[in-house]
Amino acid sequence: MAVSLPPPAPTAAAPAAASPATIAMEGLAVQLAGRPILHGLTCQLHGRAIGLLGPNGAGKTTLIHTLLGFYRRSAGSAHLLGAPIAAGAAARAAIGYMPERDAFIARMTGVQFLRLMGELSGLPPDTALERAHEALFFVGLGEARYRPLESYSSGMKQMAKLAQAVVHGPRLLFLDEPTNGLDPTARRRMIQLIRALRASGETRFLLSSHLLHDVEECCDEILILKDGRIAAQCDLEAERRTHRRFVFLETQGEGAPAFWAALQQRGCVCATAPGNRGKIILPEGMDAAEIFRAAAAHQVQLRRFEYKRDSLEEIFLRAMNSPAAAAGAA
Amino acid sequence: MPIFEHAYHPYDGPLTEPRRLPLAIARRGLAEAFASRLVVLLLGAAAIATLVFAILIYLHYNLPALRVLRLAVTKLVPIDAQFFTVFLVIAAVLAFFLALWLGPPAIARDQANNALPLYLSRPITRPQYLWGKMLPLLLLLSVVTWLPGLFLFVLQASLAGGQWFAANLHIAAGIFLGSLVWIVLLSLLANALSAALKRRWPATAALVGLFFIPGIVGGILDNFLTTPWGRLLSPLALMRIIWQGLFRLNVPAYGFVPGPDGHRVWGVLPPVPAWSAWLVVALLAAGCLALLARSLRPYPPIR
Repeated sequence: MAVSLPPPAPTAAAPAAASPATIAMEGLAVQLAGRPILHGLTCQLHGRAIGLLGPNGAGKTTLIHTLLGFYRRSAGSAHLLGAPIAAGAAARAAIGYMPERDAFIARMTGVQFLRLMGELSGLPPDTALERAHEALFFVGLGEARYRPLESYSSGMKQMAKLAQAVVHGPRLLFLDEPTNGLDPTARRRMIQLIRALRASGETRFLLSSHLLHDVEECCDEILILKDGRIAAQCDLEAERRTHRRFVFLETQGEGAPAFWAALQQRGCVCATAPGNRGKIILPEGMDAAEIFRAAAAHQVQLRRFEYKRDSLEEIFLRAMNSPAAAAGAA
Repeated sequence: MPIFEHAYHPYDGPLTEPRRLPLAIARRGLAEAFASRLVVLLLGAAAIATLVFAILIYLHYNLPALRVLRLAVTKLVPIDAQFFTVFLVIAAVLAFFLALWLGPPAIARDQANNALPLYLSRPITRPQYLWGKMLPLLLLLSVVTWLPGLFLFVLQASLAGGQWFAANLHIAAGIFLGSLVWIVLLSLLANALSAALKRRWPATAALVGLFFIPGIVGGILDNFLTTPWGRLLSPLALMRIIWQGLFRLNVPAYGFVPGPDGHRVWGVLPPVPAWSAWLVVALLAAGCLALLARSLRPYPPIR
């Protein structure tokens, strides 16, 4: 007898408002050994690729373990793709998890391991075997799939961990430090795979990492934790879109004053500074090419043209130093 | 999807019912068990023991064969509760060695390789995981204990007739219940030690120790304190008391007892009531379950 899957998650084209939040938390609190680790987390994360950031000991892994049901909540609630985490084991059929530490089952080949993991996620045995092969090829272990897992290198084991997390085609993936212990080439490959998962539009994921660059490359929304509290929640895509309206310019030429005046006439907000430098905010509908046309018209050289780029590192550092985070730390 | 596409695809097909998921773990466990030569050897030994006992039963009802062997029926071992108890003891020893080989690595390997988070992040609960791990052992132990035992009982009943069957039905119950208690206790102990100690060989040593060391301690207590209760510390003595009750046998236990002049003399120990043995077995099983509940966690509890 078979039971059917929960309804598929909407595709990227579907409006976010119509779909349940990828992860929703309402006052989620966790205590371990009588010590509060997570303090009433409340947020709604709608992104397809969510980065979970925070310094060591911020509660990232505890949050993932709580969402997976490994740790008991002391207060609050959480929903994954609209289903409460208290719904029990059956709700985990739509979830994949790649743990941080080395984890595998001894005395198995890659295919046997993935087949068992697929079957335990509810796939029928034949389908599990078929998808085990597919998943191993997907992560680049196709040629090593009949080798015992014990003979895999660290990088291969990391890829096998990713393969077991996706073998059953989950709707939501938890990736806990997926690039840990990988050399630069393997790290690059892992990032490519995670980006491919995002690009497929078929799954959503929460990527926990302390490597800001990894998160920046893969995620469109971030949640920053500090001392078990939310220090910042940020839609990276929206930030990127907003930043494309801020431009730093450095000019050279006699016509500079007229150039700045022309930009203001076109609706730009300009702030000039000594040394022929200035900042402008482009109005809606204005293309950056118009700046170059204006510069050409006033015979001004553009020595520097740069969009404002608030790197994730800046966002992270700001979050760490924000009054809210400081209050959390206190 | 063809494997050369190397792309991610979701799965929208039917899913197996959650209650059937532990069977995947059990299948894997059985495959691993049959890959071991020792397991095949022990199963073969159980089959040979069953065959020998079946021949003994058959000889009782085959006069031409007895004539060929120049044996009288009266010289053969009588087919009674004692006969089946002897078979059960042999089967129990084989079951012990099977449990000793297959039980300790079952969960310990998963613990050592951090595999529990992989299992428990899936739609499978801790009791289901344990059930999946215990099922192969329970099946194999059944194959060497109550299944051949009941086969011998049915063989004897079919040859002796309905009257013998009706008069000795308690033997069948004894075979089944006595075996069940033994194999459940063995499986629980082996898996609990495997989960708690997280390494195969320490768990194997602990299992051997648990079956023999408390027996020695109990014997010393019995002899020095002239009490019969020390026996309850030994799982082997517990099973002997339970089986004697189930098979309605009364085989005395020997030890030092107070003599008429105040000195201790070798003699028959006062019997221990069967309920006390059942109680200790129940407590042992509860202890194993508590140990499993504490040890079977995806990540060790933070203290």
